[in-house]
Amino acid sequence: MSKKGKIVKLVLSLALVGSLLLTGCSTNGDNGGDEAEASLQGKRVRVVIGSTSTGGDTYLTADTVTRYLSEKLDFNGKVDAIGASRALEEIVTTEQNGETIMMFHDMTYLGVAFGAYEDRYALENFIVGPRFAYSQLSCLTASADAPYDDLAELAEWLEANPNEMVKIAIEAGGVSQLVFNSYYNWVDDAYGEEVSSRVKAFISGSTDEKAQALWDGNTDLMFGDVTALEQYVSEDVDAQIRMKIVGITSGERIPGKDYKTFAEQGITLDGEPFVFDKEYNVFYPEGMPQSIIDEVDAAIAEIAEDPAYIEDLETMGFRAGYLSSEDNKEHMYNKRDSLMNMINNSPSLDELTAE
Amino acid sequence: MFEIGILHIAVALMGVVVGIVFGAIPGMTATMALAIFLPLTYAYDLHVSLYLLLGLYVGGISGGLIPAILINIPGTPSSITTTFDGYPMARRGEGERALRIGITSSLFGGLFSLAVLWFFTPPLARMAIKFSAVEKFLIIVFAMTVIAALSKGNMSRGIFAGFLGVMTALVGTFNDNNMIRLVPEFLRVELIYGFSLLPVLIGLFAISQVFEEAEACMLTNRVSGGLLDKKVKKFSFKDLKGNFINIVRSSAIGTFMGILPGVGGSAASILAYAQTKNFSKKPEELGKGAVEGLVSSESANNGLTGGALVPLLSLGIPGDSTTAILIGAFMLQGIQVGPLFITQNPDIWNTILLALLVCNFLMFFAMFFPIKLISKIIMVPNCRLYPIIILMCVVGAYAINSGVMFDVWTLLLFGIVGYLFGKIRLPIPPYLIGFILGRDLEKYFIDALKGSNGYLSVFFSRPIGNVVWVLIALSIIYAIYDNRKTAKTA
Amino acid sequence: MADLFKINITYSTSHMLFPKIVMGILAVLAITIVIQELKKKKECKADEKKCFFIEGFDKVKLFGSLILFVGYIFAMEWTSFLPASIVFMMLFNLLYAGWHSKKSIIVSAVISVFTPLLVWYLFGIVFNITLP
Repeated sequence: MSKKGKIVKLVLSLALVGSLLLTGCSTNGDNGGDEAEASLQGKRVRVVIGSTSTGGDTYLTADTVTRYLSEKLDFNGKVDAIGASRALEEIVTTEQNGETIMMFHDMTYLGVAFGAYEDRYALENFIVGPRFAYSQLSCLTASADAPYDDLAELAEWLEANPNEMVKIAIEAGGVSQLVFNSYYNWVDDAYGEEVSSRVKAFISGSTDEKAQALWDGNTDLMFGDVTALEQYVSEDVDAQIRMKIVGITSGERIPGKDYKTFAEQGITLDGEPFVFDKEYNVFYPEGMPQSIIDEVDAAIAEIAEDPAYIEDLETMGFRAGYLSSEDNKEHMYNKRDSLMNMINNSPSLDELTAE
Repeated sequence: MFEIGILHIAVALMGVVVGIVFGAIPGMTATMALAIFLPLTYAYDLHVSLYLLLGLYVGGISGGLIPAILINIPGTPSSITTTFDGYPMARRGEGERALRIGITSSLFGGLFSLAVLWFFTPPLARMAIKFSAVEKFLIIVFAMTVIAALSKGNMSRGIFAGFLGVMTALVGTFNDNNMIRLVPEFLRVELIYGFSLLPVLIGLFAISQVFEEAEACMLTNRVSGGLLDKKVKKFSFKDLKGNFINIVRSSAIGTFMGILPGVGGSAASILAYAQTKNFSKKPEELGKGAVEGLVSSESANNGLTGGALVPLLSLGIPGDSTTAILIGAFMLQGIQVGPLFITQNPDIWNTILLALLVCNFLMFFAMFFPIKLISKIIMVPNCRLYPIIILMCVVGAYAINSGVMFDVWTLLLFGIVGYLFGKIRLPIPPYLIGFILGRDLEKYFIDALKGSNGYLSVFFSRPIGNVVWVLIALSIIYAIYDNRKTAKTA
Repeated sequence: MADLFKINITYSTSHMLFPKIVMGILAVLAITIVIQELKKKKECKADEKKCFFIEGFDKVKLFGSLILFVGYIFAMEWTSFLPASIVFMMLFNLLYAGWHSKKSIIVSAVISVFTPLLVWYLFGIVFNITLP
């Protein structure tokens, strides 16, 4: 018995020693570059994104820039699509060793601003990194047979037909709610409460869920990206699913296309023409070594000039656009502040969805 | 016109084999395999990528039958119904036969759905959008009637377990208003998305089994030694002879569920199994190792593959979570999948069809011939097998949401829940079916009401919906009649 | 009358609508089951007191599994996947297969070193899956 006991002890202690050695090795590797020389080089970097979809805009842009970054800075980057709630949680709680970073768009601060996420996920609680891409391509679409061709006509049509009501499919807490609220507020200002009370929100999920709601007749308009929805506009598409684009959020028209912008239809936000670009950014947990921030900044600045990168993004409908961490921080805080007024003055979704 | 060559076939074979491994490991799925390989495909040309990804898809969906049959653990959510009859067969010593039947049915289901994809994509897509939230809600209710059929002689407990499963699925954030419900304050962060399907599934099936075996000393053997020496029934293609109608019906149901966007793929095999039971001449045999049940489950879950591609390639809307990842593969190459895809990219379309054909046959050969070896798993003593199962389940649970330790806790929690269910005689399969379908049930219920301004009459307002109502009623009446009959004879 | 068949959906509370319905159904079913059980009890007077655990159950293995599982999760959080898995695979193997024969312990050791290594290499390195 005692002999067996010894063997057990021996095996266990061997296993323990072995495991300690292994852990030792791995921690050594991590400490390789200390404070002064902290770098992502040779590391395994987990890029968490605020979306669970691997076909959506967040994944596509994050994956593309991560691929270029991995090559430039020689690290092993991997995009983990864990969703907004988990990504935000990760970025405010993760260890500050540079092994986890986040890439996400404007929903990072919009979610908190709309009250969809807690205040502890506010921008102030982590570091805003560089912007690496943006998209000017958000839009609202309606069924092709709708009696209006753009958003201004929609408001007039509602005014002329007091028994009609329209629903617009959006996602709560995201860019789409911002666009909806802006339109709603503009109708309210320009046409009065009687008309704006007949513009309703239909809360839905991803683009394909919204599209199905549109085809079902459960909603009249929907929010989405031009790149994803443009195909439904074509004459060759079945009448049942055909759509028309009634407004795009960018400042200028897309060259060669005749989609009207919000701004040219006279839609305003706080008196200014309404323009909104969705921007894709890097975020770091608090306490990230400055050397890593600088390193990534420098790399993205170069990547954004790379014609291959620009082309990759453009085939998917995005634009390359670098803003340094410092500039991006200022830009994002300003953007948030400029929207706060509108967000605070908007009616609640209870009101906007009520029949 | 299309592309095929040695490279394509080699890549497809690799995809199929890796897919089977992912499908066979409890806790890893086809969806995960695709997500892992997606970034790699960027380096290849789209045609090669498609061979790889479709190989992973077909392999991943099929691989789930191996652990389902041999160790009563569904490798993927859609192979739950495979355990019902596959495992009893394996315990009779017919593991090898069950595997061969399962694989052959899978091949048939895959080819059936491919044919549907090939010839009927545009009309079926037009039909699919006629199914609004109302019809989807009713179809899910219809799939749930299998709970009544499954819990014969114990119907109230079965239904109770089913709704308990629905309740468990509702835990977490409601997607419409981002509000968290049914979550204790201290788990707000962990449970924000609710419990993940895979950890719950393998917890209920695999970890609870570990506890039960541990309670029984780990001594039981899956197959009594004597049986293996004796001549057990060997597989021959004749086994499928009496099942022709069954296999076509099940493949068709699987394909149809794939075509219907937004209804989870796992519902396919559940619905097909329920119908096989309803139409069976000997419904009492199902669940005790009937070939019929196995055939239906496996042909339906492979029928899903081609079906799920129909809405993806013709509407731009994925038919299930795995095809949702395929969108990424197209997008990374700058190709938009949607209503114009087939006409604008005939070469890619042809490659997809051919690749699916190749992958289905590769899947068949990759599994059919090494079966003798695979089925030896059943001989591994439990005391050696279970630690490995625990390891694999932990890895799978952790990785399913790309690194969330709470999913491993979920795995353990539901292992305990499953163990306790056994003690208080609550059946696990109805609970799990409720869990799988719960979220969709709620979503379409609310969506239908939102669309109708809250009028419940909307559920009776659509012709297709009313047909589904009749099916639901028939299914329930039959289950009650069947329940009475067994109660009398018992 | 028409209002009877109408459910108003308020956005901010819509998350509780369906759970309430399901809870109602569960309550009805629970009552049904209790009544059925009571009926059964009357019919056949409790023949023998049923034990929660099966007869002669293995306390060490059952509770050992539970404790080891919890320990394994903590170990993975403290260290990382590979060392934790090697140690705990060993412990699980010893628990289930016993530690009374040299051969069995050697088999346990071999399994517990090689399976985690294989899994770590294949999934962690080759497939680049995020491991603990």
